[in-house]
Amino acid sequence: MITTLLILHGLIAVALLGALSHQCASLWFAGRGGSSFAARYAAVNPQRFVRAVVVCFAADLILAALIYPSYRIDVRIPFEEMSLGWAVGLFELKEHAGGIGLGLLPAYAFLWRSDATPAQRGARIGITVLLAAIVWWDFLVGHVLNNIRGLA
Amino acid sequence: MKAFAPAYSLAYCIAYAVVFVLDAPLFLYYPMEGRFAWSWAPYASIGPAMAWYGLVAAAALVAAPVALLVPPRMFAGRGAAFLWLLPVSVLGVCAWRLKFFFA
Repeated sequence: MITTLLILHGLIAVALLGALSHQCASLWFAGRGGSSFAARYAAVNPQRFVRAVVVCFAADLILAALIYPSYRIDVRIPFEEMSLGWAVGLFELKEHAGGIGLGLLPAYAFLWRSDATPAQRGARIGITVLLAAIVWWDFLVGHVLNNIRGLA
Repeated sequence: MKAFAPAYSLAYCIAYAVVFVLDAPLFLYYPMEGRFAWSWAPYASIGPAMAWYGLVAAAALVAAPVALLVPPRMFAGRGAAFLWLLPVSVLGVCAWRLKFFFA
């Protein structure tokens, strides 16, 4: 059961990474055009990703919350016994980044409204890049820790 | 109502940082026994206690009334930048608070 939830958690995280990376790329390449791979990767309507990002982030955090007790008992205790304090610290940073990211979702959805002011469109870049950084961080840390000692 | 969403995020981030630094989650979860307890009345568990659920719940609860006090015009202009600058600072606070793991 935990393995199924963990795989689902990872798959939703991949979808979230894709959506946020597309959004960041489209903000970076906005108005530049071109036919390079990067330009075509960025040639999306970023507004269309907002609902998917909010739903995927919330769903992924719910899955993370369900898996978390297994990590606390089956992974963190062995980490502590192996004196891998840095690995525990990385996970702590991951969980807090996820918790803060959850709280950012209302502001993220607000800033991506079509009637946003110019100042809000500027803040939109900041919050989108921040959410992307949180998701990338959580994804990579999760992989590193799972490679050291996996669940199940 | 439109201003509530960004105000809520801002208040949530501040509340999260305060609750985390003060180590004051709303409740604790004991995964060995599958039990919850208020953080001010901890349960004598044989295993570890988990604070994260209680941290998120405390920040979410505190943020709702605080967000109602934020003036709606705050996010129309340059104040909108706080919506990403403040969370970055809160992440910095969390990293600073956890630095002992990397010592």
